[in-house]
Amino acid sequence: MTDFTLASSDALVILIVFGVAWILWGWYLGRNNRTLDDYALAGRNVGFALATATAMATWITSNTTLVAPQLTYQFGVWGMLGYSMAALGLILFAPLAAKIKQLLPNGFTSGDFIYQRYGKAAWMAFIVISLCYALGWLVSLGMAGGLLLSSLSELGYVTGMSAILVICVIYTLLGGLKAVIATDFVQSIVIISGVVFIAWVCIDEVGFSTIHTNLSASQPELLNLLFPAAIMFFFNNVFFGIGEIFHSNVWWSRAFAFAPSVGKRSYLTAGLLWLPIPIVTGFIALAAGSLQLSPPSADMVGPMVAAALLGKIGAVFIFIVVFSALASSMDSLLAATSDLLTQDIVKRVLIPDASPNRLLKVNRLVIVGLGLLTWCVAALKLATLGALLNFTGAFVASTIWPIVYGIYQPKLTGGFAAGAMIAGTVAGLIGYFMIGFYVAAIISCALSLLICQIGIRHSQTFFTWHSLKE
Amino acid sequence: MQSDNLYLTHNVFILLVGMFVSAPALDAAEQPPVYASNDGVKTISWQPDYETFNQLLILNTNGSVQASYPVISGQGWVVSGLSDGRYTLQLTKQNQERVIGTLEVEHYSLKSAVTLFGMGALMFAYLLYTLFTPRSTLPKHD
Repeated sequence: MTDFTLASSDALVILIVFGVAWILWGWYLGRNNRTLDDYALAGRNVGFALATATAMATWITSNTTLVAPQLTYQFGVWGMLGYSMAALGLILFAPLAAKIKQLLPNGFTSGDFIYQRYGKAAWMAFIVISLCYALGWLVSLGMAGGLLLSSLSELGYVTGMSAILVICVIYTLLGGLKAVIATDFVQSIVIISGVVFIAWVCIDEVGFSTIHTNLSASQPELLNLLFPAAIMFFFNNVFFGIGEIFHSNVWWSRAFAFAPSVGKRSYLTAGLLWLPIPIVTGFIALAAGSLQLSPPSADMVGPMVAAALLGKIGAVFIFIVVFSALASSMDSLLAATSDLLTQDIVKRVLIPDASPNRLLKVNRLVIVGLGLLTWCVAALKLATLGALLNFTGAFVASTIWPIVYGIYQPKLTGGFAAGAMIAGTVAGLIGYFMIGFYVAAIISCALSLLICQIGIRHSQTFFTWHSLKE
Repeated sequence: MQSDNLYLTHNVFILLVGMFVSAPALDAAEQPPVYASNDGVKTISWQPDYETFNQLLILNTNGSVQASYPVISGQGWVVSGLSDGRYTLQLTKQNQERVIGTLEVEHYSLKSAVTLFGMGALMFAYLLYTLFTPRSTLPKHD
């Protein structure tokens, strides 16, 4: 136990106040939801400011607030820069968002696109990949809640994990995507102000010179630009970030929800605004050695440094910032994954003639089910956050080329798209276990590209875009 | 005579088996473990008998202190940023010292890292080309 650790009672009070505030707001925002479009896609008319804020806040997650410091602590300068390159996912999704809205004006999910573009085999591979990724991300967010509370307070890991899950499930359940987007707006303001303040205190209290001197003596590889594992990690993270965004229904559902002409501008702006944030959050991890801190788990380094700098009041502050970041991602993921399961599994496969009201009820049940499943897996605490997230990199990076070619290359067929996703995922997982988590995404993406290219060169078919319109 | 020899052989056999079985246990008790790392990162798990010490020192090949961290009850350590070399992990408390392990760091080859980086850069450039090249040859959607 350290001198900045919050007492259990203080931590519980913050949790309750924070949780009740989000839940009441979710209920208030969702009270006028009448149709599935209102609930799942916020009426398909979200404006530029809210659209930009929700895209940015959703992308500021446990990854940014906990994993960016972890990767900086492990890979130094390359870790920090490499992590910020995940912004490329948002930036490059901007032209796709416009295209998606144009091609599928009444679409609901990323699964809709894959099914109609490539057929059933590719759709099945895509759904499995999407669900593995969504569960991995949800579990990492639940774990992050537990780690956050256990590193800053006397409360245990399971309490923290349960709290974040219960709060997010309830307000997503009550408010739907409208509540998710509105809370994201407030959360993004809290997060940005918070991380900038912490970085400023870090520079002020510790200083660049002390940090540099300490790193040079104690952790020299963190300043080494020829650090091999970190060099491997750089483009791996680029493709991991791109894969996450290009395939995930979190981003597709927003592309459908944003008003026409808003998607492209808002994704581009959100990406550019997000770019410096991992550098700011990652930077504070470099001060760990100067503060004589060595975290028991690498993913706890960010909150530990921040709390050591700011003391007990700071621990409360960090708690609110990181909890906002976690909540802003978890609610989005719960909403988007429940849409994917409702539309792609329940409506397409299980109950094709279900009425919109019945689908709305199913959607809510799925949110609760996802919350429970996440709790069960996160309770096992199988890996560090960084390792868990990059495990999903093997899955998502395999979808990049099938999605890009699905939109821009009419010759790729469903069989090769499915083969590219399956083979890419398997190769990425082999790389993950044989070499390390920092090569999974890049290997997966490379093999997927190779198979797509073979498919395009051998293809005799030519897909016509108008057939995608529903 | 034969029975004596058999008795002796039997005893020697038991002694040898006993030594063989107990040897790893003795080694494990006396020799601190040797860890390996390809990225300069190592997680050191907490053990209850570390409680009596107040500092963890990472000693480099010359025996000088590379880094030091406080001992916090119930918490292990993650050390990172170490260059190639052999490091000794040592707990200390005033006049008391205990070596809890040796860490051998040998980073991946720079050649394989740069190859992977180059492959990533090429693939990224091709992705940009695919996303942003105008396609006058493709049919336009209506």
